This record gives sequence, structure tokens and C-alpha cells, in this order.
Amino acid sequence: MKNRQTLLKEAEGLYQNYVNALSEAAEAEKGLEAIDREFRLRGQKPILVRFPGCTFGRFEQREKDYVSGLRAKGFNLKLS
Amino acid sequence: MMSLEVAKTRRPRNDKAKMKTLDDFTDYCAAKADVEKATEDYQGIRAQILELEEQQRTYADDDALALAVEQGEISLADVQAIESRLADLRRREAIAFKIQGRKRQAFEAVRRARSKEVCDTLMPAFEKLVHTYWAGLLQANEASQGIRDLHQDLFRNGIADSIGYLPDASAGLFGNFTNRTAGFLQACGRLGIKLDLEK
Repeated sequence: MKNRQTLLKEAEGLYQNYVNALSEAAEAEKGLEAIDREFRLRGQKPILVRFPGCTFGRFEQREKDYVSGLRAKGFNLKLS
Repeated sequence: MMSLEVAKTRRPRNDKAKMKTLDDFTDYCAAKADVEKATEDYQGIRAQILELEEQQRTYADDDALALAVEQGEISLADVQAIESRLADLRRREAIAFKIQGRKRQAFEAVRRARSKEVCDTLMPAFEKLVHTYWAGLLQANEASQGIRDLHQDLFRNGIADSIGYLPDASAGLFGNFTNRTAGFLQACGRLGIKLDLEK
């Protein structure tokens, strides 16, 4: 059986992976939203409406909430 | 009476109609998807031809063929079937090649006729970002599955209880993570953007 320290270290690694992934998606979302604005400016139908059911622009907040929640519990996570 | 300044800044009435009709994105995606489908068809036929040609090469020499027939590895009917199949595939290859060329020309025409900025700058940037976004989703999905398993371990060992609630990566601000991934994948498919299912 794994001890407490090992499990917590393992958890921290997985949380960090998750946060890094959210960060990558958040960056991409910002770019997609910028392109969406460009399309609107040119009188084109915006792009992101073509993704029904996909809510854009939430990853950044999710990432921050997740990191602050875990930091409060003592996990040492980096917000990229 | 409306002042000249206001009249100048007001949007023309036909702007809304323009929004509905002008859709470089749809045209671009449709034309690009057509090119990809035609290329895929052509490459599929090419692959079949190469495979059969490889088989044919094995028995190209009369002596080798005679020996193979004698040993029951292949029959003369099989050889004939390969030749006939190859002839058919080569005909289909020529047609697929022409279709591919036409679709490519149509795509180029779309690019020329539509806004250069949209087709040459915004669309490639958009596609690149979609792939980055997708990679993030896949990575987050994978990590969230690992986190779920680990949380079970933490609860089993009483560790999660001792540090209080641990946020589950799979449930969050916008509901089910897997559905989000599936929805994005489907939408991209409809737009002709192919995403890799593996990281």
C-alpha cells in the first residue's frame, strides 16, 4: 500500500498535468475568440457558433479556480 | 431630423442580410473537405494498386510463377484475377486523380474569390488553434481520468477525508467533460476538420 506522502505527491503531479492541459486549451480559446471577433468585424458569420454545445471562454477561469482550490489544500501548483 | 454625424455612423440596413449570406468560413471548409475526401479516395486506390503490384512482382518471373503454381501457392486464375483487378484499379486511379485535381482547383477558386485575409490568414490560424485546443482537451481528459482513480485511492486511505474535499477534474464549471470533448469532435467533423483521437 502506498503511503500518504507518495499518494499526495502523485496527486500533485496529476493536478499539475490537468492544469497544464487547461492552460493549453485556455490559450487556444483566447486565439479562437480573437479570430471570431475578426470574422464579425468583416461582416462574416462568427466561427464559434458552429460548435453547438461547446462553451468557449471558460477554461481560463476553470484553471484559476482549480489551482486556487488546490493551493488552499496545500498542493504546490504552478499557474502557467 | 437625424444629424449628418449620426447618419454616417449608423450601420447600413443590408448589413444583417450580409451577415447571413457572406460565409467564407463555410465555403472554405466545404471546399477543403472536398479536397481532403478526394485525396483520401485517390490515396486509397493508390495503396491498393501498390499492394497488388507487390504481389504481382513476386510472380513476375515465369519460372517463379510456374514453381508457385506447382506448389499450390497461387493458381493461374488468381494471377488473372490480380491483373484484372489491377486494370480496374488503374482506371479508377485515373478518374480519382482527375477528381482530386478538380476539387483542388475549386478550393483554389474559393480562396481567390473570398476574402484573402480570411482564407489565407484567419482560416489557417483557426485550424491550428482548433488542433491546439483539441490537444488540451485530450490531455485534460486523460489527466482527469487519472485523478478520478487516484481520488479513490486517497479516499480509501482516508487521506482525502483528512484534507477535506478534493475537486474532481471531471466535474466542473461546465458539466460533463467527456460530452464537451465529443461535441467538439462532432462539430469539427461537420466542418471537415479532422482531429486525431490519440494524443
